[in-house]
Amino acid sequence: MTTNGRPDTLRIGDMALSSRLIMGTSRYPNPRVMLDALEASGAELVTVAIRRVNLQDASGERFLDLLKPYRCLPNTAGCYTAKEAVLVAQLAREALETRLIKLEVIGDDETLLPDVEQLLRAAKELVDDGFSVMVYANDDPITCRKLADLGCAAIMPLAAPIGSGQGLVNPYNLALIRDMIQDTPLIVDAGIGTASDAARVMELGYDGVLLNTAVSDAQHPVAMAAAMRRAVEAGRLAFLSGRMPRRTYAQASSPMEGRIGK
Amino acid sequence: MASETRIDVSINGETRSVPAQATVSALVREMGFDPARAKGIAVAVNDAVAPKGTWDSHAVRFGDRIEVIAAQQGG
Repeated sequence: MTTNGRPDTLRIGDMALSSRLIMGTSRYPNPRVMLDALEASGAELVTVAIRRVNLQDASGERFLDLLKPYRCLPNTAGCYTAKEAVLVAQLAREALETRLIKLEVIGDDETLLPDVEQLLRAAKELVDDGFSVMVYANDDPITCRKLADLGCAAIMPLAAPIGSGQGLVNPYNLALIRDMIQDTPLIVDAGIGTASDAARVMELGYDGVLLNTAVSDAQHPVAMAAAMRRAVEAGRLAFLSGRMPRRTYAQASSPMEGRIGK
Repeated sequence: MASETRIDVSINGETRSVPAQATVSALVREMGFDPARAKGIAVAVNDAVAPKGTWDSHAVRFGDRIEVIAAQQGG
């Protein structure tokens, strides 16, 4: 996307992205739909999980081959402790030859909300180890600020629990986080349900949106991916344009002068 | 001739009998990967990453917990 003829680049660490939409690669009906949806989304960065190779069918390399047009952001999904998350991040770095990591440390199975104590510990260890840490976080301004202060490359508070499609359950907190963190990219990760949610995130001044289920579980994933692309761009443009002030009373758009019979 | 000595190790949570002195490279080859072109996979032994440059010389030992991972679908 360009604004006033200039590229609107998202910079995360030393990575420059022209798309502000980051896509997951999970839960699609089949690989063809996934690839078509990724293309329709315009995303350049896509998330992948790190899992044990199936000893009976070692096809892991083939999945990565599908994603050749994209830059991969490995995640630590499924980790419950800092120790697990750090090891998975180090394995991801070795396998994918990338310093990028989407750090997740989960507190329980029901909510998949982050365990803040473990998250902060893992974030510090990974930043110190040279990772470019994009951290999935609670929508808590203090936690997010601490993660930014640790040197994370991007802070990614949730809009709602992973896969819930609830949209922005606490837009006040998301706005507060943006207000408090100006010098680190902010991306909403998780909870997006439909295109208007993505647009609202961007209108709050967020730098990007990361989503998966809203597209993969849509009835028409490829069309929804295209909708998300437009929503992120529309929200970004609206943010950069500066919305009009809210007024209590009406203000006529058409001139009052020159009306007939007056 | 004495039969080949074998040891039990855990690979991705499954107990496997492998030749004593088997290297990480040998195990990776056994799983169908070419250790020389193994982009996309990584190995940990006892919760520590085994860098690719060490696979040829890293002999696994009895009881080692070996994890072989790859990138897969994820959100």
